[in-house]
Amino acid sequence: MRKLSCILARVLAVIMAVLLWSSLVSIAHAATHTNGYDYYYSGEGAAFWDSNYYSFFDINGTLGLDVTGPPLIKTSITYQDMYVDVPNGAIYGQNPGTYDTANDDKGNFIGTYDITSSNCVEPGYPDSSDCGANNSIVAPSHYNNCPPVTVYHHWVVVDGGVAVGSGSWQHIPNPGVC
Amino acid sequence: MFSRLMWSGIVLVACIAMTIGLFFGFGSRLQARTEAAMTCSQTAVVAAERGSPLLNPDGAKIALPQGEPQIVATVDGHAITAARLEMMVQNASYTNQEVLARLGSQAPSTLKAELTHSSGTLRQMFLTKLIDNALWLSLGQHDGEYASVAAAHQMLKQSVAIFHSTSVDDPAHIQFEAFLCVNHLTEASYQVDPTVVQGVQNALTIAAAKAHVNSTLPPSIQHNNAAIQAADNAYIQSLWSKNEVQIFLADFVPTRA
Repeated sequence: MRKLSCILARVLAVIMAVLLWSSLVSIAHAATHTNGYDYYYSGEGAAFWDSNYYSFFDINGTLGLDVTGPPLIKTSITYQDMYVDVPNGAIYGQNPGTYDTANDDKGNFIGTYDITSSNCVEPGYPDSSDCGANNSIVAPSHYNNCPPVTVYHHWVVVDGGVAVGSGSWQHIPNPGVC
Repeated sequence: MFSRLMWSGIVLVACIAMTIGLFFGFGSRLQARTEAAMTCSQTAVVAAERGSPLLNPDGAKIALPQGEPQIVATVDGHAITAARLEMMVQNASYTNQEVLARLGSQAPSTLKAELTHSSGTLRQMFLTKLIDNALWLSLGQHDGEYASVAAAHQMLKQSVAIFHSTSVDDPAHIQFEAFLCVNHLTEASYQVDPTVVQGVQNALTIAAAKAHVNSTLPPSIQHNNAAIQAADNAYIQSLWSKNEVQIFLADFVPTRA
């Protein structure tokens, strides 16, 4: 009986250890949706299927655009902010010039990025710090403060006059910081 | 007494833990079932099939404009078929309309202009692109830069990994499902299909040929998109004249985006 209890206790310990490990993994996975800054990233279309290349391209919107994919393939991204959804759910600011009053992107925020070169400066933001190495584009510095409301980003990937992919992501103020 | 209490506690904790485990396990199975439910008959997939390219358009019944020849161009003797060209025109028209509809009236005029090209303009653009690509590919092959099968497999494997990371209702996920459906492929066969593999090899080779040409540009313009594009266009135009390019499409004017 004592031996049986001992075995049972060991089995339970193993089960609990596995469950604890699973929980930690789940927490770690969930944490990838935050970026350590003062907003959350959330959105769909973090990747797009480009049938011209029979391949997926990965767009990680955590910090602006960070395009990781096969090197050398030249694809342009026409990217824009189009509107802001205020906390009460109303949508306003359809004119790109009227949104995000706390930040500096009050003008047209429409640009074409070449994801394979370091020449990724947004029109209106001639700030080389926006450009990252290894074919990536890092967060524009003007997002490193609290956005006043959730900011929706819509992006369209245009390759040779064809929209090969589109999607959106949101910058949501982090209640823990903002 | 203490021992019995301790055991009761352990059993209670174990029961709670197992309940949680079963709950999450059920959740995973439910998710897996949802993913498995994505089939070719699903409405979203059927709709997306209209914009999906066929691996073998020449074997499909694709409507051609009246008077358009079956062969629209040849590059060094290799034919470019009207079926392939028209498939690209029809798919692009549909996809562009879909994206514009999704963006709505908020889309800026520059984007609208780019995505509302007429069929005639798209036809000119795609035939230019098909000829350009054939010439870039030929250049890459000539320079010994043809991408390996292993490189293509690596890219396809990466694609499947990204596909799995997307949610089932993600437009990219649906588009890929539609591509598999119209071409009677599975995730597994997609990664080894000879046409797909060769298409990826070609894409990688074209990119390598362009990168090679761009590496010869002066450092001052190597980060200037417009200058690089202009240099690429000038180079490809020189290839048009050096190679045997014949056009059979009426009123064709090379058009680049």
